[in-house]
Amino acid sequence: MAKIIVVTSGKGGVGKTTTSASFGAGLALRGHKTVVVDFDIGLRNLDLIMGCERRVVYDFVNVINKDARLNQALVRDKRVEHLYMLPASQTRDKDVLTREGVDRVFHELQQELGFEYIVCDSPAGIEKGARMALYFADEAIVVTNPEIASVRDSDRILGILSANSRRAEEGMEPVKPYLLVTRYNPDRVEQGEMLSLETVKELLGIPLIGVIPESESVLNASNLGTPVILDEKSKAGVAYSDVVDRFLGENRPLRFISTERTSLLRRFFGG
Amino acid sequence: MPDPSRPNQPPRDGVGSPRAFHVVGQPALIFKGSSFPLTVAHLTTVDAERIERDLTTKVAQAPAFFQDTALVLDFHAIEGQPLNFRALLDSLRTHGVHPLGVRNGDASQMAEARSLGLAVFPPSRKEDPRAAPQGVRAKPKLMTHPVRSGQQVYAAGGDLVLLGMVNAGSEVLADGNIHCYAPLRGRAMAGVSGDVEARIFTYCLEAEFLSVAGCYRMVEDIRDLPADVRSKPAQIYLSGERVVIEAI
Repeated sequence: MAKIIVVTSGKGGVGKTTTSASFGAGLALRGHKTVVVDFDIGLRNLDLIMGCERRVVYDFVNVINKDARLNQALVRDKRVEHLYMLPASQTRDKDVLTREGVDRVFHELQQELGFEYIVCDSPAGIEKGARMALYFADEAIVVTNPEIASVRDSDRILGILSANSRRAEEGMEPVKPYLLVTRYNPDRVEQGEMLSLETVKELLGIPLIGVIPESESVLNASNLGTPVILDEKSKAGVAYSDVVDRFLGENRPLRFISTERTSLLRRFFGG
Repeated sequence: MPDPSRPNQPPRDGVGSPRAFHVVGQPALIFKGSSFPLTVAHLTTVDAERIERDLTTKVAQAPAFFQDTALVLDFHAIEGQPLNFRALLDSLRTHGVHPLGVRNGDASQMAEARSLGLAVFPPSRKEDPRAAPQGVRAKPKLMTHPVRSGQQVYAAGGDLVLLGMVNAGSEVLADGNIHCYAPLRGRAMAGVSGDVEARIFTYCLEAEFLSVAGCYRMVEDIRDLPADVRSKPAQIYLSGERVVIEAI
């Protein structure tokens, strides 16, 4: 059975799409057949971040409406083997998504096309699109920036995950949530301008899967249409690689969570 | 202006016409279940003068609380007694309180409530709100998961026991006591049906709002809490009308 992972946050602009693209690419790089599904109907972005916007012919909505076959809508990544994406429709509205339709598409992705991981890129907010993206999830990556509004929205989403997911409705084992802190800047934390990692963890009370440092390379990668995880020289890319490894059960210590000076000292003392 | 030569011509659609906003396929009414914390006023007398006097005093103490407050009237204690219903409603409305409905009245009181356009609520399970702590209570409601922003948990007729944290932006309510064995950061309301003996207990007090039997205390800034209870074990109870926060 494939695992369905939703990348969600409640708040907009915290890095959901960046995370979906890099996380999906990371799983595929490790040999797992992975599809990233864009649930942001009407505001699709994943195709841009993954650099395949010119190869989109059919989309998720066409498949749900049976205007196209799933195979026709899936876009295969040119750089990473085993990586596919299912684009959202740019011209439709989120109301066209139905549970039956999404269920049918997911079933086909798993049973007939043999995908191991389905990564759902959720739209912002707590409306229908976001609820649909998290409904079928087995696990959730809750993307949070170290600021109070983002933490509050993540908390709200965690509440919805525990009450309104398929797993909750059918009385199954609850959706497993993971905290991913993005745009983390240890210098600004030290200045008291950002919440510390400890505070975010304390407020949300879910296991941490990684910390992505604030980095220019994320914006550069987005503009180039390359998932930042493919940039092995960037800290953000390396941090995303660690996230994927941790997700697959490897033990990877956290990096880039203290100021440069301390981390140098740590390197000397092996901390 | 309507065209006088064509008297039956309906006005044309355009900006400002309600038809312009009609969406095809959308039902005109969408019904959704929801629960609201309501204040219940227990009448202990039918003496209009005493009611008016006590009401004036109460409203003067907390004008903000009573402004636009929706109220349910409980007639248990005055069942069978003659009541000037209309005068009571006028008096409440003058003070900015909106009576929504009535419960625990006798047949004629309930019939009059209906005729005055008030809702008739089912009788409460408890015999007397004052005797509630001694009476038979519902089983405590147990929450093992965190209560997160936007969620509301209500323990009807009894205590609420919370093992997970209560996060900012959430609401926990109980007819009885609230016991929270984790950080309490949201809004907590004990004794919501009027039990003045109800208390709130927590391992770590960081709440935004605390209330017992309708008397409340807002915590605008957590630094407003005294150091001996801030982020520490504490209990909250009523002493008269005063909400007391005390270290335990």
